[in-house]
Parts: sequence; C-alpha cells; structure tokens
Amino acid sequence: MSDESMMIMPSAELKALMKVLMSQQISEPIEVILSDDAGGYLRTKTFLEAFGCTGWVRDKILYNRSRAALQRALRGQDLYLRLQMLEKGAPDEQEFYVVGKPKVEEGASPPLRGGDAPVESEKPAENVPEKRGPGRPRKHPSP
Amino acid sequence: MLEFEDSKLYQLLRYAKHGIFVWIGTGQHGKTVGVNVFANHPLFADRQIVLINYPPEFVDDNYPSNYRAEYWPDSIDDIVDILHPSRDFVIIDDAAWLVGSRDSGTRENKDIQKLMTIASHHELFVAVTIQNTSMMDISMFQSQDVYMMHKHMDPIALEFERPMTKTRQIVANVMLQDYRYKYPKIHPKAFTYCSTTWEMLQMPMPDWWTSKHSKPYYGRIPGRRSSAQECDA
Repeated sequence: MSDESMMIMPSAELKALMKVLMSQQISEPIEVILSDDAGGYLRTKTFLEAFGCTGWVRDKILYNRSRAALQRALRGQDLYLRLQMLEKGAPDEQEFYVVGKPKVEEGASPPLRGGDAPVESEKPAENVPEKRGPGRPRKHPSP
Repeated sequence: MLEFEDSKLYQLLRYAKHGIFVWIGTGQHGKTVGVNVFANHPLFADRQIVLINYPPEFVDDNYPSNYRAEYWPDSIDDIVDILHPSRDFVIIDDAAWLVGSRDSGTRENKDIQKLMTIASHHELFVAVTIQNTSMMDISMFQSQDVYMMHKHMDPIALEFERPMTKTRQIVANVMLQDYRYKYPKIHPKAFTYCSTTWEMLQMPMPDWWTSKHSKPYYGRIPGRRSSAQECDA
C-alpha cells in the first residue's frame, strides 16, 4: 500500500468506517489496518518531510516503521470479529466544539425562526410573470 | 460540549493567513449557513466577507454590514479590484457554477485556478460550498492548505464522490448520524464534521439568518446581472 493512499484516523472514526464496511453499504476496496503506534508513524513521516527525504528511501523507512508496530490488516469476516471486540471497550466520548454564535448587528434582518416568529413572506422571483399563460394545449382535451 | 478555541482546527487557523475551506454535502443540509457562521467567527474578525456572484441588492438588504457582494470579473486583471489582500474572506457558494469540473476550460475556471495558486500571496481565505467534489475542478485542492468540512451526503451521491474524498465522507456521514442521535435537542443541520482534524463542530445559526439566506439564488441564476445592473455597467 502506498503512503499516498493511506489515511490515518482516530479510533472513533475508524469504528464508524468499519460499521459501514461491515454493513456492506459500499463496495470500496478499503483495507483496515489496526496499529498500536500510528502516532509514531506520523511523527516519522513529519520528520522525513521536514528534512526533505523523499522517494524510495522515504517509502522504505515508513514501510519499516509501520511494520514495527503491532498491527493487523482486517478483511471480510475478520472485520466483523474485530468490530465486536472494539465495541466491548469503553464507549467513546462524543464531544463537539461549538463555534461561537455571531452577535446580532444593527440593520440586519430580525430572527424569524421558532413558533412565535411571524410568517415569513418569500421575496417573489424577479423573472416569474404574475399571471401564467394558458400553457401547452393538451393532446386529449377533456370533454 | 467544548469551546472551539480548544479544537485542533482552531489551533491550525490561529496564525494562518490563508486557506481553502471546502464544504461538501447534499443540498439543504446547512452548508451555506455553516460557512457563514464560520466566516463570522472572531478568527476572521478583521476581514470583510465577500459573497461571489450573489445578487448585490439581496446582500445589501439582508446581510450585516461586514458583507458585500462581488461579481466574478470578466478579466483576471480586475480581481485585484474586487478582492482585497489580507482583508477579505471569500465565499463561493454553489461553486459548481464557477469552478465546475465539466467547465474546466472556461475563462472563469482558469482564472480562479490561477487565483488559488497565489491565494497565499494575497493572504486570502476562500470557502467554497459544493454538493460533491466530483463536480468541482480538482485544481481547487492542489495549491493551498485545504480544510475539508462535511455535511450529510446522500448515499447515492456518495457513490459518485472522488476516491480521495469518499472515505472521509463515509466517516463524516456516520459521525454526523451518531451525533444527531446522541444530541436530539441540537438542530441536526448545526453539526459540521471536519475531516482535516477529525473533529465535530456545532455551528448555531446567526440570529439574523432566515430561510431566504439559505436560498440566495431563489428565482435567479448565479452571476447573472439584472438588466438594470447591465445598464449601469
């Protein structure tokens, strides 16, 4: 597997991906690799990039680095087994970051959401005529 | 619930002066409101928000004073007249109209590709919203720091995603679904998943936001000037 096609993600995201793969909602040739030292791999990769190490040497060093970790590639039914084992662990903390709510500025439109909000009137399109024409005549007019 | 200032995304952007935010997801899942909430964050407080190809009268009547609308210019030489280095946050909503993958040879598309290569020189943040990255010219990803922001994508549309985005969007879909179930009191469209940092963000709607802000092209074609504006030009 080339480094370019490898994506390292946290365990919660990996579980989400495994669920989709297991449910066979997609037919992508994705290989899941569990590793106990993805952080070390990333540090080595960053180090090599910082010192301009590229090409075959870089790929070889990264390959050896990845093989040094305790890891296992998962395919097919093995994926199901591994997912079962993962789910028995402690549940992930599903936290999220709140991007600040912008302040209301003077001159901006008032909020119109919620049950108490007045009924909003949509601005009519500029290019729609007020009255529509008769349209295309029907092939079989009703008697 | 954590402060955005504690996130990895904030730490990445804290000292950044340029970057490209790609908001992807199926229509009416909150891309437009999300990008506007994000652009209004204090991180970008020193910048004016430029809405490309929005109807100017619509922006003047319905948006706060830190917004303005600009039409994409006919000549690349005029870009410096409409975008101000270091002082603008550029939003290209429904970018398929401007940087569509099937229109890769058009003048507008070539111009914006050139602009992307020097976006860092101009210290510009550019945000694009699009339903599927396969609809967008790949050059948008190639030149600058890219931050991938995900909304829910329809499973059928997902099948046609670019391979580089597909795995990220699969993860984003599942994560967004999990959070919707776990936090039923939060509006489901308020969640945005950042696959650059693997973080979930919640973006409450601005108080001034209404349904018409989510459909700025209602009854219009993006980038088309009205007859009165043509006369003025």
